[in-house]
Amino acid sequence: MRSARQRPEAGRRRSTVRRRPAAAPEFEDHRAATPGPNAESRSQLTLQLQRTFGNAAVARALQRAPKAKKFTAGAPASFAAATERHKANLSLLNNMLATGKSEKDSKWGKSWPNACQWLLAGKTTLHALTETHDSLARATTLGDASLRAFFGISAVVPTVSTYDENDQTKAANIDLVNPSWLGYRQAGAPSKVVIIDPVTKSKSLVQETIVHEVQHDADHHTAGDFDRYQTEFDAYWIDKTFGDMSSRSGTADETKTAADGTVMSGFGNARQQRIFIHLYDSASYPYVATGWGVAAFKGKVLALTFPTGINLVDSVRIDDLYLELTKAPPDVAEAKKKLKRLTGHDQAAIASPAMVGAWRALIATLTDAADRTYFTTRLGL
Amino acid sequence: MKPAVAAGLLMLTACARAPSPTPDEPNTAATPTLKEPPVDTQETQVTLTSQSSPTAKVGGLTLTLLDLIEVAEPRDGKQRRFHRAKLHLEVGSDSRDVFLTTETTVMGYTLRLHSAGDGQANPHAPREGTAVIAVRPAR
Repeated sequence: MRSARQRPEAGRRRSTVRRRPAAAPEFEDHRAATPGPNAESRSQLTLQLQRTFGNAAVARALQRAPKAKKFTAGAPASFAAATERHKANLSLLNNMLATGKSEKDSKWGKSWPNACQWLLAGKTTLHALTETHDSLARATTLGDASLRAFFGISAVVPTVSTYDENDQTKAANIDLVNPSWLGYRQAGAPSKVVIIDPVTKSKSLVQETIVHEVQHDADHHTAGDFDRYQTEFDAYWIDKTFGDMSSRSGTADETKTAADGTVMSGFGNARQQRIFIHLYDSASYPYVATGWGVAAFKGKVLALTFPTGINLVDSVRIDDLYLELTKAPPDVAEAKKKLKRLTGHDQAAIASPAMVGAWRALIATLTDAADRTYFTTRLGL
Repeated sequence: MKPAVAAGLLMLTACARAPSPTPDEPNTAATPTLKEPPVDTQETQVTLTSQSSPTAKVGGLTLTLLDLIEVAEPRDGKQRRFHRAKLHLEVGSDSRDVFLTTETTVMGYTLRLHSAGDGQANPHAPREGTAVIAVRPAR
């Protein structure tokens, strides 16, 4: 059996918890510096191969390797080209999930493989949109010439779908969107995460979007203003949009101002402050700016120095357990089965400072003392 | 037409138009009974939910929330996010669908997406989109 010292995953987790007890292992920055399968590491690999086998041999091998077809943004030249691009879009997302579900080392830690598993389980559905060959004319016919017609909204990845080539008035499987968008989420049962022409988009932005949008479903937030703020705060933290800002206590800038000149003081760390200002400045979240003037809302904002919640790692197994325990009445027998399916990382996340409060509160609602003891002990609460 | 007559007609036109109440400038002093009802002269906010309460009426306008999405758009190396509501509007026998991201004027009304989001009443309840739309008569 390998010891914890031999297992880098376990070793990292423990040392992180010791270093910063205020945050969960998932929300630390140490993974950001880990080299992933990016362009730099590929070029280093090529260099190493050239040193070993010689430049000519490596060049011949690269020429023999099949090259993926490049797609550029814009309307495909024909219906056939649109169909081909749609298959490429579906294939890209499907492969991304298939490899991502067991990816060991990503910028997002376990949140990326967990988000892939979440989508594969159908808890949220994933859709690829592809521009139609007549996107402007079709969008104009369907009522909005400022947008473009895309197809694929009615089918979940990897199911192939199509559109009526000859009748632009047919709206089935058509969505009108702006091609500059990366994607969107539509809340529902289940919610949809939609990626627009993924073959023309940055892979890391697609991953970031998936991690972010899945979190909105995984946290089971309510529609209250602070809950809506918190789901955005958590999702922006987890998707690493502002991962370059320090999460260490005392790093916030007391003189920093929002776009309207309001001084944003009182924050615990720079990342918390940056995410808040991002939401405050956005016209899409007016309740955030309004709430800053309300003592109760502002107090909660400042107290939320790092994410807290029931499932900050997008885990499908944590969600399954949570859903059994929140039934009326809770299905304790089924919950015990679901508890056994948690991974070591799931359990570490639940017991982390970021999630332990929510889980203690949930277990406290169980009426049977023996059940409370069982879950408290098994979950390490 | 003689200049004097033309001037007189102009004056009559001006006199005839001046007292008429308009949505922009209601003649409150001279003809209080002609004043538009409050709902048509000031901004009214309605809350629409995608499933449980998608329709509301403001004055002569009926709004129905068809769809609400949160969009991710790359900008300056980061992704900005905003909401877009798809609404079905009806005024009398006229109807149409519009997309609303910030503000738009259509069918005699100015609509502004005041706020939007989603949530669940409990973990097993349907997840619903909510859009708060501010409505006022177009000027």
